[in-house]
Amino acid sequence: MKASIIKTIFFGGFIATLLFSCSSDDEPSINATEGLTKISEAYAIGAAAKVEIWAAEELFAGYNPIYLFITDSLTGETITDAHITLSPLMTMATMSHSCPVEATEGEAVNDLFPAAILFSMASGEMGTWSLEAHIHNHLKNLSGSAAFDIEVKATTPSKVSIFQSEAGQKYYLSYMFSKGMKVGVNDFEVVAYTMKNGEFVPVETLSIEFTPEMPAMDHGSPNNVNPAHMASGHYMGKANFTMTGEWRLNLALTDGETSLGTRSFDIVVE
Amino acid sequence: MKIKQVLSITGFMMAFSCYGQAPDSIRTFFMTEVVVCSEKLQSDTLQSFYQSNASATTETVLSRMSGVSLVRRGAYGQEPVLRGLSGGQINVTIDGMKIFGACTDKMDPVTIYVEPMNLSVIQALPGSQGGQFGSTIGGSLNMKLAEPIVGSPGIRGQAGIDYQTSAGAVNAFSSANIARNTSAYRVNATFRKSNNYHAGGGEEVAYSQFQKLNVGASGKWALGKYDTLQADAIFDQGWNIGFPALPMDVGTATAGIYSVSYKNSTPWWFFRDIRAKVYQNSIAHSMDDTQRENVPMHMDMPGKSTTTGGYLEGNVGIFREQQTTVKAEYYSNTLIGEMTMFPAEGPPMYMQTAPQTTRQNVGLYTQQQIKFSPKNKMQLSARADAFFDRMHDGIGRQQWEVFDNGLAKSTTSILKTVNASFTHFISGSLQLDVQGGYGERIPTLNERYGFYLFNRLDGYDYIGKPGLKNEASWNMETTLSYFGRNTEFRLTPFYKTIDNYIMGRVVPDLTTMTIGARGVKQNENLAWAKMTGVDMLVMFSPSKNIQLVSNNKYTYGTNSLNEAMPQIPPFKSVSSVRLQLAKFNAQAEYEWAAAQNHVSSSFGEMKTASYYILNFRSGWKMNSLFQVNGGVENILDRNYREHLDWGGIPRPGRNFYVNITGKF
Repeated sequence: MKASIIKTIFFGGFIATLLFSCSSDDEPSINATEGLTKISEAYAIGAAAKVEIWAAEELFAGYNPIYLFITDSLTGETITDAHITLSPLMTMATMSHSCPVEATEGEAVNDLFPAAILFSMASGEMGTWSLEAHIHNHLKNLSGSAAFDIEVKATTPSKVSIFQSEAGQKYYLSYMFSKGMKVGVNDFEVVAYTMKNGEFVPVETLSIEFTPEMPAMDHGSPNNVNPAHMASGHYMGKANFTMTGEWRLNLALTDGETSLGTRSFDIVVE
Repeated sequence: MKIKQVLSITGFMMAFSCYGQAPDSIRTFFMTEVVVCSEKLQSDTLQSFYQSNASATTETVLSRMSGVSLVRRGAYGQEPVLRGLSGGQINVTIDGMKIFGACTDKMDPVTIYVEPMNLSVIQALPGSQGGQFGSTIGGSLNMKLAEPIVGSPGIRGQAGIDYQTSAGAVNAFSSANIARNTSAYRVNATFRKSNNYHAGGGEEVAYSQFQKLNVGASGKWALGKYDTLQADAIFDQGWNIGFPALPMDVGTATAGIYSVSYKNSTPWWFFRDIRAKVYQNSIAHSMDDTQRENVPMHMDMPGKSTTTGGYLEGNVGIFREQQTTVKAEYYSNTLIGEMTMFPAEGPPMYMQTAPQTTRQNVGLYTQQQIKFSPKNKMQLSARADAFFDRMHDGIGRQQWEVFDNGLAKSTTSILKTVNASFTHFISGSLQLDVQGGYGERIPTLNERYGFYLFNRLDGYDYIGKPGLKNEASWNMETTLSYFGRNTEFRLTPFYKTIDNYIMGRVVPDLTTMTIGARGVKQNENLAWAKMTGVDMLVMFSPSKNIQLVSNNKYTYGTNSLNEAMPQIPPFKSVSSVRLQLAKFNAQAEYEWAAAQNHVSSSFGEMKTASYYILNFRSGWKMNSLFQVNGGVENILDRNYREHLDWGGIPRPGRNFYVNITGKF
C-alpha cells in the first residue's frame, strides 16, 4: 500500500517534470517577461529580427532597466546571441541630444537582453524621445536597426538630477531600489554619469555621504550605509526607513577632490 | 492561605451591605489569615480609611494602601507603584489573570479596567512575596473579583449616585446578587463622567476630563456538594480620557475580561482541593490628539493587547498539618502599538511603536508552610518561569532590522523567584516577621522592542533593546507588629537591591522621531539600584467610638550612576480620626508628604515641594435602606502636586462631594 503511494508520487512527479520542461522549451517568452510590461516593439530591418522592449514599469525620466526580447522575424525563434547598440535621442525644436545607456552584448540572460537607459528628461512639449536599437544577429550574421517611438514620463518627484560642477563638468545622477522600497533595511543603487568629449561615461570616483530624512518630521534614520562604487558608475548602499511616508534621500557628493554639493531625491515608502 | 502581610481591602459593595454591624476589633484585620472572609472586614475603620468615599475609583483605593503610590499623568489612568516599583517590575493581576495595558505610553494601567464594584479584595504583596502571581522583583497587586453568593433565593443589591464639585463629576454605580439554592448571579455597573477639574486656587486644568462605563456579570453554579463552576465577564470602556501631562489624550480604551473557573474541594490524589481557571482578555486603546490645539501633526496611535491563559492550583496534603500549595500557569500575550501621522502634505506615515510581538509564559509555583511550634512558623515559596518572546514578521520587525539586522526571531528566558518568611510570636501582643527573597523579572515587551516611544517626562524618544537582561533583586524586610488593648501598629522596614536595573541612556548618534523631542534614549541594564524604606501603620482607639489611623510610607532609591532612582515617592503620611456612632460617622483626614529633593534629573524629574491637605468625610445612615455620605477634600484649597505627578500639573483643589446609596 505504502509502496504504491510512493510509486504514484514518483510517477506523477516524473510526468509533471516532463510536461513542465516541454512547455518551458516551447514558449519561453511567457516566463521570461513575466511581471514586465511591454513598452514597444519594432522590426530591425536587415537583421531579420523582431525586437520587443520590456521594462518593469513605463519609461520615466531617470534610470530605467529595460529588457530586449528578440525573435527571428520569420520563424519566431528566440534569438539569444546578438550584439545590441541602443541610441536614444531627444529631438527638440532647435537641438537634439542623447542620454547615458548601458547595453549588454553576447548571450541573453533567460532569453532577455538586459540593458538600461538613464533618461535625462521626460517627453513633452519640449521634445520627444526616440530610440534606435541596432542589432547584430549573431545567429544569422545579419545587422539592422529597429526604431521605436517611446514615451518617457515625468515623475513627481523627479528621479533624475542633472547638474554641473563649478568647473562646468556636467553630471547625470539617478537611483534605483531594485527590490522596491519598504520599511526596514533597503539595498539601493546610485548611478552616475558625466559627459566627456561628447560621450556619456560612468563616474567611478564619487564618494557619497548618504543621509535620509523625513521632510515632514525633520528626522532621519540610523545605521545607513553610504553608497560605494561597485562598477561602471554604479554605487551600492543601504537605506533604512523607520516608517512609511515621504522620505528624502540626501546625497552629499565629492568627485575626487571636487565637492559637488548635496543632491536630493524624494521618495514615498509604502 | 494568605498570611498577615497581605493587605486587603474589601469592595465597597460588601462594605456597604454590612454597614452598621458592630465594628470588629481591628485585630481581626491583622490576624486574618484568609482574605476571602471579607465580611469580617466590613465597616472596619481601616476599611473606611482605604475606601475613603463610596464612589472611589480602584486607583484611589490603591493609593491609600500601604506601600502603594500612583504615577499621575491625568485625572484618571494613574499607574500603581508598589514601594517605588511599577510597570513590568510588579504584577498587576485580576483574580490571578494576567492582563497587560495596550498603550505604549502607559496611559492604561490595567487598574483602570476594573471598578471597585467588580472587586472583593485587593492584595498587595511586595517583593518576592508576590511570586504566586508571577515572577517579579517589586511584588504583586492582585484584585480579587467579587463572587456571586449562593443561598436562599432572592435578589439583593445596592445602587448609588455621587456628585463631585471640583470636576462637576457624576458617578453612578449599582450591583445586584441573585441567589438561588444551587446557583447565583451577580451583575454590576459603574458609570463615571467627569469634566475638567479645578486645581487649588480655582484654575481649571484643561484636558483632565474623562468618561467611562463598566459592566460586570458573574454566574456561579454548584455542580455537586464540593465543586462549583463560575464564569465572570467584565466589559469596561472609557472614552475622552484627558491626560493634561501628556501631548495626547485617550479617544477610547476598551477592555473585555472573561474567565471561567472551577473549584473542587473533594480530596483527590495528593490534592485537598483544586482551583482551575481559563481566561481571555483583550484591550483596545486609541490615543487621540484631535482635541488639542497647536498640534504640529495629527496622529493616530492605536494599541491592542490580547492575553489568553489559565492556571491550576491546589493545596496538597503531603505533610499533614504543613500545608503545601502548588500552582501551574500559562499565558500568551500579543501586543501591537501602531502610529499613523498625517502630514499637511504627502502620504500618511505609519510605523509600529510596539512591533507586533507575542510573549508566552509557563510558570510553576510552590509554597510550603511549616509550623515549628505554636509560636514559630515559616513559609517557603519558589517559582520558576519560562518566557518565550516572538516578534511577528511585518513592518515592526523590518523596522527593528534597521538597528539589528540579525535580530533573533525569538528569545527564551528562564526566571527564578524564591521567598522565605519566618514568623515569631514574641508575646501575646508582639509579633515579628522576617522575610527575605530573590526575584527576577523579564523586561516588558516595550522595554525590549519599543520603537521611539516618547516619554514626556524627560522629553526623550525611547527605543528598546532586544538583548536586555532580566532585572534581578534580593529583598529583605522585617515587620514588627504590636496589638495592644487600644493601640496597634505595624512597622516594616525593607531593603532591596536590583541588579541589571533597566533605565534609558542617551544615544547621542540617533536622531529623534517625535517632533520636539530632546534626543533618543535606549534602555540599558545599569549595574545596580538599591532601595530602602519603611511602611508604618498605626491605629489607636482611645474610646469605643473614636479611632485613629495613620498610614505612612517612605522609599529611598539610588542607582549605580550615583543618582536617585526615578519616580520614587517621598515620605507620605495619611492620618485620619473617625467618630463612629450608630447612625452617624465623621472622619477628618490629614495628608502630608515631605519634599522630594532626591530626584533623577536625567529622567527629567523636578524637585517637589512638601504639601499637606485636609479632608473631611461624614456619613449618615437614614434608615435600613439609605445612606448619605458627604464631605470635602482639600478643604484649604491648596495648590499642590505629588512627586509622581507628571508635567507639574496640580491636583484638584477644594472638592465637595455627596453621595446617596440605597440597598434593596
